Amino acid sequence: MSIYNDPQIKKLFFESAEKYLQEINDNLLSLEATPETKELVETIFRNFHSLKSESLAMGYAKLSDLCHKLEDLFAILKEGKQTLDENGFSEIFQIVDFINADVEILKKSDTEKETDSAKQKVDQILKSNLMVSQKDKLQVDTSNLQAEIKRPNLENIKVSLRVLDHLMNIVEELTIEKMRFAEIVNNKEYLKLQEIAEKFDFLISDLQYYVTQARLTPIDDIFQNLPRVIRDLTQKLNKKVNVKLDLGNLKVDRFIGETIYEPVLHIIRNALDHGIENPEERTKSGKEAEGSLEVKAYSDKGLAVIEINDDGRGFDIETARKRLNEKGVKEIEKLDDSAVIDLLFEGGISTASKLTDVSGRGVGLNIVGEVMDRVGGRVRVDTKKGKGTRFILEFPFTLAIIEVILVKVKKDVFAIPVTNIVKTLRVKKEDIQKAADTDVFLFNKEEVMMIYLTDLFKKEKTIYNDDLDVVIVNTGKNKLGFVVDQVMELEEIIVKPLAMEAEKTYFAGVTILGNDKTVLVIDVAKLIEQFSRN
Amino acid sequence: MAKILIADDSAFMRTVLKNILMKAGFNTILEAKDGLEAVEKYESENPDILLLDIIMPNLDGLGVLQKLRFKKANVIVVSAVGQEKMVNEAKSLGAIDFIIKPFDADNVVQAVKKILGK
Repeated sequence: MSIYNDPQIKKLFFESAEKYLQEINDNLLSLEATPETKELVETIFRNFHSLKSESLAMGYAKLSDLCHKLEDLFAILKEGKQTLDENGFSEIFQIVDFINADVEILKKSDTEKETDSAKQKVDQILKSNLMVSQKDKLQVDTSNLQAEIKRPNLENIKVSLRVLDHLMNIVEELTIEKMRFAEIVNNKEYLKLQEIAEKFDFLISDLQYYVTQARLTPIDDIFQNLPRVIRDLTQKLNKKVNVKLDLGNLKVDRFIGETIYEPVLHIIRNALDHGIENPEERTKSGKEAEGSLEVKAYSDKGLAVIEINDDGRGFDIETARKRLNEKGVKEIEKLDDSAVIDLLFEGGISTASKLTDVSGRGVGLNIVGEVMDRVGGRVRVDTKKGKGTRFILEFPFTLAIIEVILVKVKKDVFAIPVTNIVKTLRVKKEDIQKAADTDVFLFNKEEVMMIYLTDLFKKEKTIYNDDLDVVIVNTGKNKLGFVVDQVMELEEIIVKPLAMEAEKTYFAGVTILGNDKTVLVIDVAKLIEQFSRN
Repeated sequence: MAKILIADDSAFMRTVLKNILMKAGFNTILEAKDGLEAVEKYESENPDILLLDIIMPNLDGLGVLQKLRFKKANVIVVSAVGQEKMVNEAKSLGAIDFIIKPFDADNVVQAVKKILGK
């Protein structure tokens, strides 16, 4: 068997190829900004050369051929007599996208894609002395641009050895405890089980902590194609923008990072499309012709923060007021600007006066608000007419681990966050009183409305003939008494966001218990709001 | 046991070469990821054979050969097709043998064994 058929070598090749392509992409971006940098040309040349040799070794002759052509192109550039113009860069970026897609296909099916048309493109660039004239310009394929905007999907993440060592230690300790457990059962020393249970508890919370740590991914990795997306957008929109990207070394949970990518991109797209004016307009209003866009990531007070600043025209609050009014929002003139902006995050309203194929219209900030909600974060906006806009997205680093009490309602189990629970108690049947059309009981001399969870979740009326199990919950001063069939145990759970819109009426998230059972986490705040309004 | 130094900036190529050599029973294998590291490791470890890539950052294969000119090094140049010009240059700088990428296991093992006189 040839060494190249070895699955491990194959895996190594794909990792290597992806690394080269990312490097090429990043170096091309830098080169476009500073065309005189010889080292960058040198590195791109070497990257294509290596990719050529490696793909040829793997038997991917067509891919290798294409890389060879690109290597030749950069060999010519290396001589320093010619440079690529803007269109030349665009062409190369597209070819790199093509190779990326090709590598993806190879990874999945091991069959080679035709590379002739891409090779012709390289020839064309070579023939036109790398100065692709405007009329020769190949159509910029916007579907390509769309593909670029897809959400990142990291298959592999780097985990620090330190975290792995901790995990390994915990596994070792668990193994020891398991042996002790077997021994105790063997010797029927059941009184010692409590001790083991405590030890297990301790180890499992440790395990949870380090697994959470292991999932932390540099936001830099998750947002790695952002520079490229911004570059393509500015070019497509014909804007001059100085982009500053400073993602620092912020690390967040992979899932959260991937979820947040879309709203960040949405805001950037808006800033480039509608925020930052075109050079003529900017000069007219006394601004630098070149706009500025800054994306910063950092941590503040235990939260991850992403900030997006532009020096464009700011929100058009007046148009927003008009649109909201048309949509039926009453007394809009009484709201101050920040309240109007809050409304924008809720409804599908855009202030853009022109429809463009980059940002569209009507797809407003509600998406941003929604996604931030989903990861337990929030968004703030600071905007000044004519001066620019600052978006601040704040969100937790990791998925929330919370303590809940599990309750049974008919056959199903639900979770109630401990922070919302005042007390669990049994209410005698004769202590239940009627008030209007609801049941209430007195708790500390305070009337508490009873909510029968079977009625609410199961839509069936249950007649209880005995005393009732009630969980008293609160937010602030408002209380409700949830009537359940059984109060079960206290658990620590990882809350995951809900996938189904319909579930959000009553629930804040979902968790999976050890026995693989899915459990919905009750959104106490929302329920209290609903019932205190009625 | 012969000591072999692999100098290649591609981790993929280094691993492939290493796997081939280890399967053939060569267990003492050193790696360098650019020309400078290759010279450094050559001088400190004094390997029996140097498998040398040509296109590398910091110092390329030809630069390495130049620096090792008076060391009587046993250098096998591992180069890609279409680099005949450089291969000739490498010869004049003292490279003993050549392997052309893509190579298979036999090419590599034979070239190494030929030098070691086995």
